[in-house]
Amino acid sequence: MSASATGSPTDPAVAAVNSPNLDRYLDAASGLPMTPATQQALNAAWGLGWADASRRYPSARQSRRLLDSARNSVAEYLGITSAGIFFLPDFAAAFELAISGYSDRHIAVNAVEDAAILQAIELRHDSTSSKLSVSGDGHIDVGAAAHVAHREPTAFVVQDVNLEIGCRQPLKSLAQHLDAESAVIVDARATLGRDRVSDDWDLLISDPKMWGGPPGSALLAIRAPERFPAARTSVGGFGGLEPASPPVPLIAAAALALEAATPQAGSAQAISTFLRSEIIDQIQDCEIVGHPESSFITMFSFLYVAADELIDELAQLGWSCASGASCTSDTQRPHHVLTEVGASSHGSLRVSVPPQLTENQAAHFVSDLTRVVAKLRLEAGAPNP
Amino acid sequence: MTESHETSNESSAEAPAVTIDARGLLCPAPVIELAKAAAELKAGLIELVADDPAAETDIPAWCRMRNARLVHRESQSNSTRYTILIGTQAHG
Repeated sequence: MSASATGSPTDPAVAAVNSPNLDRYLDAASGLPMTPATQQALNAAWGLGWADASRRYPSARQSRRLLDSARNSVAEYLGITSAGIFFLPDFAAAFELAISGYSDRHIAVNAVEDAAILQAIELRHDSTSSKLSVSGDGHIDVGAAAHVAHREPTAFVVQDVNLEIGCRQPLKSLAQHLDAESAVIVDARATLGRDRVSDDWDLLISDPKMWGGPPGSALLAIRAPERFPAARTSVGGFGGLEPASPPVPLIAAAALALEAATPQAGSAQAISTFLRSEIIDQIQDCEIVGHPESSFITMFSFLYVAADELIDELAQLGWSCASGASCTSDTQRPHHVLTEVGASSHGSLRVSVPPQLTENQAAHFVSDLTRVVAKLRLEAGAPNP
Repeated sequence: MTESHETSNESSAEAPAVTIDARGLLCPAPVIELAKAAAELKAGLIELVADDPAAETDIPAWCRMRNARLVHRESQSNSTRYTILIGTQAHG
C-alpha cells in the first residue's frame, strides 16, 4: 500500500473536509451539499461499514449495526417502525418498489409530479393509471381524487410540496376522503429533513441528497409494512426488498444528516416569504407561479426576459438558480409543471432557499436580480410597462 | 391536420389591424413583438403567428397580465396563429 493511502488523521489530505459555500446558492430544491460534519461522518463510515452487512464475521456485524442504527434513526424521525424503513440504490428504485405493492390498484398521479415519475407510471403495464389535473395554483382537486378512489381502489402518487413551484398539496384532506382500499405514496423530497412533513401518507419516498446526505441511496418508508403487499423477491436482504449488499456508509451518513437537518427548517421559509414580497414589490411585470405558501421554493416569471440569459447573468454574479423555461431545457419545451398550471415560461426563475441564508444575503439577491432584469429587458427592446 | 380552438365566438371574424410573423423567433421574442405592436395600436385585433412551443403558454399568460384577450387560437402544421384583442374592448 502506498504511503499516501495510509495517511494519518493529521495529514491535511485526510483531515480536510470541504466546507461548502452556500452564500449565493438558491437551488436548494436540486439538493444540498453535505455539511463538514456529515462529510466527516461519511469518512468514518467508510472505515466502519465497508463489510457486507449480510455476513456473520465481526466487521460484517459492525456494518450491520451501522445499518440498523441508521434504520432506527430514520424510523424514529418519521415516527414509524424500523421494519418499514427501506434503503434503495436510487430514487427511481424506491419509487418502483413503492408502486410494485399496488399492481392491482389504479395509479393516480398528480399532473405536476416529477417528469421521471410520470414517465415511469406511463410505462407500467400491470395497472391502469390516470393523471390528477391541478388548478392554476398547482393544487390537486381532492373531490376529483376522491371520485377516482370511489370508482376503484387507487394508489395516489403526490409530492407533498411541489419541487418546481412550491405549492403544498392538501394531503390531510385527501386522506380524509379515502378508504382503506386506497393508499397515498408521497414524494417528500421537498420536505423531509427541512420542512414539516405531512403525516398523511402510507408510503413515503425521498432522496438523501435533498437533505444534505450523500447522493447514492434513496429512502422508502412504509407506515404499515405488515400490510404492504409487495411481491417478495428471492434475492436481496432485509425482507427481500432491499439490495443484498446495501451501501452502508452512504446510508449511515444520510441518516446522520437527517437528524442534523431538523432544527434548521423554519428560516428558509421566512426568507422565501421575504424574497417573494421584495421581488414582487421591486420588479414590475413579475408573476409568482402557482401558490407557494410557506415553502422554501418559489417560481417567478419575468415578462420579456429570456430565462437562459437571466440564469447566466445571475451566475456571473455568483448566484445559483434554476429555471423551468424551454430555453434552459434539452427538449426546448417549457417545463410540464408550468404548462399544467397555465403559467408563462419565459423569464422563469426558480429560487429555492437553503437553510441559513440570511435576510441580508436575500436582500442582496433582490438588488442584483432587479438590475439584471432591467438590463435584459433593455437589451431585448422590451416596451416599458 | 388543422385543429381549431375557439376561445370566444366574437371578434374572430374581423380582420386584424396588425399581423406579426414571429416564426423562427424564440421565447421571449414573440411576446416582445406582441407587446410592441400592442403599445402602438392601443386598441384592436392583433394576429401573431409563432412556431415556438413556449408561445402556447406565453401568449395566454401575457394576455392575462396585460388585460388583453386571446380570442382565437388555431394550430397549423408547423405554427400556431393567435388572435389577440387589446384595448378597452378586451376588458369586458
